[in-house]
Amino acid sequence: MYHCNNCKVAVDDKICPLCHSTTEPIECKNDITGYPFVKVKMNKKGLAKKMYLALEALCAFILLLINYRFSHTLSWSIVGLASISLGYIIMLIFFNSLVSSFSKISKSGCAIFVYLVFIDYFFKINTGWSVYYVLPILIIGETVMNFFFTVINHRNFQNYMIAQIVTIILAFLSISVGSNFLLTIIALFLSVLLFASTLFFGGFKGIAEMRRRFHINPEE
Amino acid sequence: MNNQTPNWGKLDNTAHLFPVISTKKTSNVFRESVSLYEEVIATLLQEAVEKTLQSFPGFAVHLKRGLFWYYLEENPKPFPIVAEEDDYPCRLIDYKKNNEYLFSVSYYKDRINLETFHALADGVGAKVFLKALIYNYLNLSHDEINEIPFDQDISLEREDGFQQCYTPGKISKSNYSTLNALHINGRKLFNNGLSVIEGSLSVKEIKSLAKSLNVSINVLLVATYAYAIYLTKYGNKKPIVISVPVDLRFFFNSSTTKNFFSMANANFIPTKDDYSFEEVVEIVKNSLIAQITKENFRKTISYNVSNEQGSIVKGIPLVIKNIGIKYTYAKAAKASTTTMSNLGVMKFKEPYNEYVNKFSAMLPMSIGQNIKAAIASHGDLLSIIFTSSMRNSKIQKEFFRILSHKSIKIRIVTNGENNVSL
Repeated sequence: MYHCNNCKVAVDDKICPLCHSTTEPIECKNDITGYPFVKVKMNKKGLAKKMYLALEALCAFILLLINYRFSHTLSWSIVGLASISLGYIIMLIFFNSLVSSFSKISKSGCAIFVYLVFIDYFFKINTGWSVYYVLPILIIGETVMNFFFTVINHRNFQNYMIAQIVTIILAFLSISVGSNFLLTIIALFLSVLLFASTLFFGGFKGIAEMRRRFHINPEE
Repeated sequence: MNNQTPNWGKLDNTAHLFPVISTKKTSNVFRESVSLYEEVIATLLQEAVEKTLQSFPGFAVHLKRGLFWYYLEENPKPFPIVAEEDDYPCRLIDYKKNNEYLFSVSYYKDRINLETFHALADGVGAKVFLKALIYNYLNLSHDEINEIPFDQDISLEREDGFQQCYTPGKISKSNYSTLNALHINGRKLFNNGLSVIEGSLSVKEIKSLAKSLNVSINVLLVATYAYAIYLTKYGNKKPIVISVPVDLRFFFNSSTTKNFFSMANANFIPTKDDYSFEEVVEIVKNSLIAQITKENFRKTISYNVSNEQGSIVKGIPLVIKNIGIKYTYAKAAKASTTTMSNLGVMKFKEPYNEYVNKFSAMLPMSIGQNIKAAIASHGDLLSIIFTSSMRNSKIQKEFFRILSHKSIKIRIVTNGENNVSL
């Protein structure tokens, strides 16, 4: 051990960690374990995010410049920017190691839908196709994906029940916002069928999961 | 489909906050360590963790997201392999790598570390688990020890202390501080690093100093911390507010291993130019005494639980609730400068006690708090660990200098993050 005459403390280093002055060796056994040296790990995901953002800023600048130079408007460059942003959002979703593959695909689907709505209403040509066709198709796609995940991961089938409820709600919503009637009815039918069969085949475990998710404790 | 249903349970009143506000920088993962007089054997530690988990099913859980609240569910996965410590303490637990367990166990030389996510337990709850782990480890590593079954000093209780103490009726007004406290900022360490400065001192010496000032050890150390901040930030007129977690088990006769604590604030508002150490001790003492009363804590519990149980709050989806919780927390964080937590004494039964050298604890950073301190003791060895995300260690220096100038012998060990000042 060493002694710092400035701070009047015993330290485990030749330089005092408190005042950074030199210390004197002393006769004292150090029975306090120190800490390991931490190797700085390179944050590859963080680096990729920063590089993508820098690239996005560069592309945005070039697109805006070309667009304005030739047409004195910013019409198509905005779409380009939205596309790059969509790519960034999807990258963020897939880089999140805390969420499941199912959640990643679902969130990406939502991001793509928002992007398509933007394109649809931005160009004002045949406005409404995104809500009329894309929304019910996405709900059908989500339901089909949910079915496959439920079958493949049948031991933890209950993990997909909330998503099934969400698709039912979305199907009802798509009716109220005036989506294609036939597609919406198919989406609603499939989502209700999937939820009902999961509850039926899942039995007590499925019901227990619903209680858990809705915080209903039968013992209370 | 598999029809075995896992057990599940609600989070306690305080725990609702932690999953929402946890980030890489503010992990809400605290560490408690026990150092032995011998090197730790990894395989035995692994076995000890698995054995301990059988007695503590409340710790073998994972966090799930419901529509309205988070909840804890029995974790069917095995506990991951216990690894040697190779990272900064109090890092956000990687749930995938950790098989979704809300605590992790590591070792370094003779030290066993338990890192716990605050949603699972508070310091006292985790201390109980760590104690059982040490008993099991020593039983496995020493044939000469005749295994003694857990007794009263190991509680397996997982009741929600807040709900037990809550009496429905008139909703008390919030007694949370709305002061805009001093915040300690500075140049940060690289790559979300955490500096650790640990001071070890004699309980007898610090006790006699506290006795000479007619205060408890806890008040003395909180006051020393406040005085160190005052000296470092000389000329500051903003309130120095040190949050001190208070264990409510003592007040409400509970032995739960879930969260059951409340915060008291040691307020020191510098209104004149020169304060002596003794003056600050008196101010901090009076500030804490006024707040640490059963009635005060009952009011806080009533306010918190009634908020949780309100039918409007109950019906709000979790996504929206989270936004509200984050906003409220960020607002409340402005009222505090730092935190000093006293985990108290760790006592082991004989013959286990003779194998244990030290008990220590560390706190993670939180919003607006770039430095925190934790106190823990075993036998005559008291450990004070400052964790900080800043390069500067002036406050730690002042703190230990104040004590050393009061004739307290201190040994300092660090993780090297503050050793070179650039």
